[in-house]
Amino acid sequence: MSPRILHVEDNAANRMIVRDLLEFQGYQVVEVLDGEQALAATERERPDLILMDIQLPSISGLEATRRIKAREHLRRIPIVAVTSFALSGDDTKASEAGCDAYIAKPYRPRDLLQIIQKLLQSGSATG
Amino acid sequence: MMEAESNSAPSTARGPLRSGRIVRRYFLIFATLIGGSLAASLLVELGFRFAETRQELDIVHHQMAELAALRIRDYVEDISQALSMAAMPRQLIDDRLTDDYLFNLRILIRNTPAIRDVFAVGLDGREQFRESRIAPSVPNTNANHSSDAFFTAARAGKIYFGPVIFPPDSLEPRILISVPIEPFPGEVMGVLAAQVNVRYVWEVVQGIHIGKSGYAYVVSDDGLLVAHPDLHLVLQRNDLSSLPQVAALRAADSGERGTGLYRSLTGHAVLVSYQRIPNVGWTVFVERPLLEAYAPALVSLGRTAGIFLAVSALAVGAAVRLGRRVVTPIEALRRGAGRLEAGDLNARLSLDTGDEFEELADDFNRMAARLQEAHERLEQKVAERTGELEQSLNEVRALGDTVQAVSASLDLQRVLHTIVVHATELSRSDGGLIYEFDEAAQVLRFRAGHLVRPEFVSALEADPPPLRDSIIGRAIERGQPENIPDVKTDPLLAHNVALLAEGYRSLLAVPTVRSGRLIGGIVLGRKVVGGYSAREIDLLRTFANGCTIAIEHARLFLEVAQKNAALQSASQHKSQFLANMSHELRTPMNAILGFADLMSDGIYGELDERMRKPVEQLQANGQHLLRLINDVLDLSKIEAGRFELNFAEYSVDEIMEALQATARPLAGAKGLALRVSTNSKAGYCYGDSKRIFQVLLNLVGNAIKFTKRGSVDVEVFAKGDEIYYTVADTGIGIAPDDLGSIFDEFGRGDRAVAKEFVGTGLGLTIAKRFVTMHGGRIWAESTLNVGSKFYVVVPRRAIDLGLTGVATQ
Repeated sequence: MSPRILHVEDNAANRMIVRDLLEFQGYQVVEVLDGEQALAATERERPDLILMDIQLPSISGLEATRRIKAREHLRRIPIVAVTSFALSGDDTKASEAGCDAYIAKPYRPRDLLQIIQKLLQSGSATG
Repeated sequence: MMEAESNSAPSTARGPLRSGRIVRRYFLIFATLIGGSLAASLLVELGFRFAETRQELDIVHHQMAELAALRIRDYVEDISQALSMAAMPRQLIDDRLTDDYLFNLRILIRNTPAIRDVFAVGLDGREQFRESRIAPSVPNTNANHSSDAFFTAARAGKIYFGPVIFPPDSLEPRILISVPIEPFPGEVMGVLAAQVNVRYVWEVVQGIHIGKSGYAYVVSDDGLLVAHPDLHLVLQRNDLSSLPQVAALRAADSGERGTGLYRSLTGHAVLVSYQRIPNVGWTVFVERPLLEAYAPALVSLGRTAGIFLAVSALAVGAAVRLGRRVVTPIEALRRGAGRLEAGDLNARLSLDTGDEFEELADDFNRMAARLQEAHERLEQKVAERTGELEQSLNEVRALGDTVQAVSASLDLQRVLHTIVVHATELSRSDGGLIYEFDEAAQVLRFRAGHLVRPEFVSALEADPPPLRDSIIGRAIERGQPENIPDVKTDPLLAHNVALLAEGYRSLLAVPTVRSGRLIGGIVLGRKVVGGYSAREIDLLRTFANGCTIAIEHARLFLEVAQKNAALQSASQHKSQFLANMSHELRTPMNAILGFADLMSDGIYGELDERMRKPVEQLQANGQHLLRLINDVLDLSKIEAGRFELNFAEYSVDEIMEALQATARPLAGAKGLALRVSTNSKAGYCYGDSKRIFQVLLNLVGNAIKFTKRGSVDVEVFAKGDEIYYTVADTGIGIAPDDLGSIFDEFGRGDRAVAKEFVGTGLGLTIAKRFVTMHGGRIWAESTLNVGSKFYVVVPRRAIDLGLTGVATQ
């Protein structure tokens, strides 16, 4: 069974890129548009990995991450923070919220893929 | 310690010493004057007394000696005369003495008891007749006397007195006296000699008594003692020629008489007088012990000395009493003066000596009283002045506190309110108002009041004071405080009725002017007639002047605060704009680059040759745009002071190795030789290694970019406290005119050249900012078409200036 990835992103073009990239690589992609939906989708879909955009309408990606990580049964799901802020300290904020990795926009699709693959490998190795 | 203190106090230490001096001086003067004159008179008296006594004694003694000498001479002469008389023969036969001459001799012996023997000697020196008292009818010895002294002297016609003889069979001294036998003058026919007993001389001597123990004695010319009260001395046949007085007599040839002070046989000091008896060759000495002789004089002397001592004692007593009499008042005066000096102005003297001292004491008391009075007046004055000073000080302090309180706030309305409150309280007014001059409208606006009813305030606000007839208007016009002692007497005053209705009778207005510009004014009122004193007006003027600064500050602060708020919001807008732009640009950039990458990677199917080129262009330009965005963002952050350097320990060689690793593919792609020195031995430094790396990478990137052939050399070395990095290339170089501006935004050299090479034009600007933020410097040297060399110098240990970094230029 191919890994299922939850992509939280409000920009349609960016959702399309990730979907095209990941489906091309054989992953299942579930998409939601904001943090609130992200929480519900995680509970419902139990994805193998979450790609979380930080700048989101309603609750922010960081807040959504905190809530997911607060739930015992969801805590193991790796979360990759995607941010468009290149300001120093974003990575720290992300890791403080509980994110397992961090990538800044604009990213090269192959770099994103590398991070995902790495996290899934280490996750399956430990889990 | 106590002693030292008392010694250091002049009045107590010197005092007794001084008065002691006076007493001593007086005493010395008295003693010298009285004692000296007495002693002198005594000595003179003594001298005269002794001299006179001596003279008198000498006369008396000598008279005695003379008398004795006279008696002895008479005696001897009587005998010699009797002898001469007897020598005359009553009968002469053949110029020879007849036997009846013996009869002559017998009569002689009978008449003259002193003659012991008598004998007649013929011219031939033969004894012819002899008669003796002891043994009558002694036979003629018929002895030859022709060579004896008595014979030759008498034979020559002289009377001869022989030396004293002490016959062994008798206790009586004798002398031999001889006379010539000459029946007619000049016809000597023999010599008559007699043994004469001189016991009588002894009797004469013994009969002489002078005083208690004075005595006389007789000495012959040859020094032999002839007669002395002590017969033993005579019998011992004492030769007295060595006795000083005898020797003196013998030395003085002509001296028949004389006096002197000598020593007696027993060694006592004696007064000596002597008289010589010439025909016999004897001298009578009269001696008297000195002490006895002078006894009356000494007794008299003792009396005089006693009187002297008594008078001296009296003199000393008088001197001391007189001294005391003088010194005691002086001492009292001095003590009084000392008390005055010590500050005891109650010191008074009570001297009732009834003389000048008492007058002096009275003068002193008057002086002390006057001094005390003056001192009290002075103290009163000092107290008054101190009071005034204290009041002034309190006012100044209150003023200072007030001005400080006023200045404590920078809120203009609050400052004005504080001013009017303090002005009212400082002047003890019943109400106060403060106005601000609105320069634009040329109107005084009420700003704050104290102790005034709100109704009154609203009335004033509705009707601003005219610049002419109001009290504040007048004050402003004159530029001086305006004081109205009674509002009732000033019907022309604006708001006159309203003021009186509120009960205000006295008014004071003080204008506030700053640097010649009218700011406004303070109006104060009292509900009593009388106005404000000059002192209060002064105080309020000073206060108002102090307050103008506070008002000015508050006004300026208001302005600055308003401007600052505008600036701050602008800055916030800028930051927000940057953040937003960053996000808003990156999101579409992500899509553009992402799709281009996916297309290029063949996710949407293999690209044919015609499409490949445009997709590559899309990627390249998208990346360029992204770099531009990043650089602009970085620069904006730096300029806004929001760019943070992460200072840490770093290794210079590690930076160089990373640089080599990163730049090698770029250089290799262009066929350039890249040499990076990775063995600087510069060790560890302190700074933001990521930014230093970024700067160097930018320089190396540029060098590779602008070099078609040749090499790029990166070197590093430490010099002093600094690290030098150099990046040299063999590229196109930079024109001298452009060298100065290459670090400016978009200031890359030749535009034509710039177009040929891809770059944002912000790299060097950002590099310079980073270097500057490290406290370092960056510059370039270049020769057109030969090459360029960039220098980056950073301190070995950069100083972390904090989170905001340096917002430079």
